[in-house]
Amino acid sequence: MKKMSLYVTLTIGALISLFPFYWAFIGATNESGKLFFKAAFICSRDKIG
Amino acid sequence: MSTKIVEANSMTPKVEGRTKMKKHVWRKKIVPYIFIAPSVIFFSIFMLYPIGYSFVMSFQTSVGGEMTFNGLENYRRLFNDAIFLKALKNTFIILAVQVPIMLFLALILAVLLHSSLLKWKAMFRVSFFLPAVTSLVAYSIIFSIMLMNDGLMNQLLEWIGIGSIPWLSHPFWAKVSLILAMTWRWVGYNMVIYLAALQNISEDLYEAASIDGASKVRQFFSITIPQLKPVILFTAILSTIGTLQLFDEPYTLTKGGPSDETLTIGMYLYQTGFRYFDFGYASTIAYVIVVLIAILSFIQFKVSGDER
Repeated sequence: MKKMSLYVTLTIGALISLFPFYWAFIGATNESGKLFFKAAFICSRDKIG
Repeated sequence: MSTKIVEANSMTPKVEGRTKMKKHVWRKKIVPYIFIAPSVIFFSIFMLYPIGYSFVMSFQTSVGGEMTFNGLENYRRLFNDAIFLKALKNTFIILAVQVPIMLFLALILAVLLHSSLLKWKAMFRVSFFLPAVTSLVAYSIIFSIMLMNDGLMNQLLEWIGIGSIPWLSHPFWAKVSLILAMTWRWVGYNMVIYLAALQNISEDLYEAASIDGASKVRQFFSITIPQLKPVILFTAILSTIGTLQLFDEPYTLTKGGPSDETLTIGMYLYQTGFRYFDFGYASTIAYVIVVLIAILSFIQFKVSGDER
């Protein structure tokens, strides 16, 4: 249990730490308009229309 | 006559020996200076001279493009300058909130990553340290894109039902954005410093504490924290200096806005020097930052009780 919570905490932290790099990659490979579309896609499929 | 020549000849090797010895000693003394001369010369030209000259400039003002001496007028003006006082207040708010949060998170992460229970340590360490090797401007731009009104963060907040937040256009949230961005970048850097220090703490101490029945929490507060005290002080001073010189993040994320609410003294120094070309006043601001850093570092040394 102790080990599990350690891994969960560190994995969440690592994901938060790495997410801006993923978003930088998305930004580098998409036009600005598409970037916001991608954000909408991540957050809610209903908004894609 | 011949006796004198013989005497002179017998003295010559001794004199020559002494001269050689003197030359050798002189060379031995002078060679290190010759080796360090280039760096001293360049340091003097590019560091000492600008530092000294900016001190002189802090007592000057630009009139018609020429620098004229105006005594303590710049210093008097500085302490009555509402924008400077606002920048000072903003800087201290960021310092008081961001530095403790960042150092606390860095310490916790370092302790977790030092755990013997953990596998894939290198992968986690790289994940947390990666932001520290990112270009300051690049990460500020990424955050400004993520924190835009239509950006990812707001879409995510709307999706979970909280509603969007004016991250970069509200005085309070703009400061929060800066603190978030800075914490993201610098936690890993401080974590690595703590991790190196943790690896130097003898395992015998923990073993002895375990035998005495000390819990993990007790061991953390009674062994880890006291052993890390000099390193914590070091990181606190480095972070304080860094925050007092804060420029890149507010310049790229908020441009000091809204209505100077994220203007820092570093940014105000830049604006005064390179936007209004008031180099005398900018030098005065620079010297006030130096004095503030010296005072805060002294206080930190005194509070921590470290006289070394």
